[in-house]
Amino acid sequence: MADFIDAFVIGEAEEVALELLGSFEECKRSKVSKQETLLKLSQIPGVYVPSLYDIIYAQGGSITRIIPAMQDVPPFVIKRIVPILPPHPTHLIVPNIETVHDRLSIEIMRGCTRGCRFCHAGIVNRPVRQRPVSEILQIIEDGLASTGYEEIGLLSLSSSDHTQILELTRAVYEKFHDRRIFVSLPSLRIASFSVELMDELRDLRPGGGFTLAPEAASPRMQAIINKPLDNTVIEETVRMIFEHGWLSLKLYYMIGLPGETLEDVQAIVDAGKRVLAIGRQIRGNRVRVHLSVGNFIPKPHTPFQWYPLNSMDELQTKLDLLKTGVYRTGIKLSYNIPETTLLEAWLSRGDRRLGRVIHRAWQLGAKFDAWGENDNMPFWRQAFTDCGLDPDFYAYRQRAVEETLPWDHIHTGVTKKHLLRELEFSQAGKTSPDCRQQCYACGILNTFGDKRPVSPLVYWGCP
Amino acid sequence: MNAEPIRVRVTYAKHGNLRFIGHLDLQRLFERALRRTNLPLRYTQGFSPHLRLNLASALPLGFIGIAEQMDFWLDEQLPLEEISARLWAALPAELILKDLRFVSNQSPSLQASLLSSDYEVILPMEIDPLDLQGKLAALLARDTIPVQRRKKSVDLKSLILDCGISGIPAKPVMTISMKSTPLENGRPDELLTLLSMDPADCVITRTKLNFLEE
Repeated sequence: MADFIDAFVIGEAEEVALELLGSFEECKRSKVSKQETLLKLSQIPGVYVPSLYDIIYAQGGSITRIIPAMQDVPPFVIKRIVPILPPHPTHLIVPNIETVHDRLSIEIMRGCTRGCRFCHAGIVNRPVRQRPVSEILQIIEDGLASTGYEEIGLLSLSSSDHTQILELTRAVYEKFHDRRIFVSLPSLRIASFSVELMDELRDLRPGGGFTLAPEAASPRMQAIINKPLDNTVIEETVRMIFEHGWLSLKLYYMIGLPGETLEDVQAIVDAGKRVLAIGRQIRGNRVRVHLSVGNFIPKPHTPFQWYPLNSMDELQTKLDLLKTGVYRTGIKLSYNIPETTLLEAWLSRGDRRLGRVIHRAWQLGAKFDAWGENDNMPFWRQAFTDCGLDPDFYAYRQRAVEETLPWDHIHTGVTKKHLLRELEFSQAGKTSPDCRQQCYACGILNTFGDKRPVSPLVYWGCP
Repeated sequence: MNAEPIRVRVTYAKHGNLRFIGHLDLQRLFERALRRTNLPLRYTQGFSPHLRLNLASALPLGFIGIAEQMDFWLDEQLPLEEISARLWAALPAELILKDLRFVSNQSPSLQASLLSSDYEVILPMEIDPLDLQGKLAALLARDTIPVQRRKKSVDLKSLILDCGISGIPAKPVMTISMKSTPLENGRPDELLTLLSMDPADCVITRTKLNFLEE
């Protein structure tokens, strides 16, 4: 991105945005050069100025070292965090036409302690911090008054894990049940407790289905990704969902995960069929089951960052298996086109040289790439060729753990040592339970421990 | 809750960029604006209560409306000035409140009593008004003016109540009056198309809604 972006804020921008603007303003006023301004900005903790780093490449194209191009430039950039979640915005722009997420969204918690190994958000948003119930109620009150919205969304990465979530849902019902609003509560864990939470909202629940995200169906894959799920717990939860009034259930899964076989993919179909059977047994033929299957991309900063992407053929074979599996079962299946995944993989796993590829592909006509009707892949392949780069090098290469990764100078606070240990655990089929019970020394407390508020009223998920 | 709701009739203008939002979006915009007023709004009863709100007639996308009408209901009587002030504060700049009054619950709904709509069309610069006048006369002289709507044929002739061009030659403006009942609804853009104009090149304003006299 060095070709397009002068400076990034790494991590949470709430505080550093003001420091950045202040420093920029000062530079503007004293009329210093752009180069000097960038150097100045790079001195702000959390600000990454890509042009101030030199990348040394090895013969084969991999990176040997990433080094500061000038004195005073920090060797790596540590992300910024806000120790206490700052005041939530409540005076929002209300669109005049219907948009996606057309509701009052409230962040009730940041971060997640579950440690799913594929999950980028679960690593980069550490540590877990949450807002107290009283604050959330006030945000809802102020937000509704200023926007007139009829629906609110209580958002987080894993809402069932908010320590006061039951209290919150009860209080929300108590306070707002006569206001004619709907309250959506997504990102719930697969547990009967989640259904109980939704029950607390009673008639404030928006219409529509219940959504769960097992991500993997076979016990083996669940252990690999560290999202273990007891089959009886799933069945009990599903049973409860249908018994408590829902008619449609959406399940999120991924294919292309490391070590996955066709049996693991078949397990997704089998799980869908079991869920549908339970639903039909309870509510009859009106029950709808929707499998939404995404293609896994190994994401930077996660324990899976060294893995290659599944080949297009592998993904297609797995998708065909799913399609055949749900044929005439009444299960709805939605999935992503493998080639779109490939493009995403290049962009999320590439290094600085990809800037030229992006520019070239754009010149050749690659626009609106996410729009299914455009086949831009020829442009992208041509762009790689024109830039003398091999796309497979970025997508399909198993990266060595000794290798310097293109994002190694960006520090999330979680150490590479921790990611490697999680990778080894994954390969051994070992799970790491919720880190609120047991600290795995991921590095967050070492990096940000001194920022941890002393007040016991401020919740941090770390033990 | 007050057994007898208070019915409030709003006359408003929709112009500027807001003329490009559709009927359902406008309805949602009014709902949210009304909720921001914190007035004691009346909701429908039943399983999924909705704000009681009734727009007289859908204004086609791109049209300006200067005397559109809408009803909403309150649970309590409040001074008109207060309702007006709160609504003014909650509405976006391109929705203008022109009149506000109480209406009896016995009077029929806006949709049911709407008879016709009056429009004014500012014509594109390159249109020769005299030539257009000739075309219009010829068109109106026909016994029927069939137009295709989806798979249905409609006779535009019976929907046009009045049509003429004034302000010739300096500022030609076409005025059209058309039926707008739930069963028969005339669309001025269809007429403009028949006269070989692109409605998108014209500025079309709905100037008045004509209701059944009580």
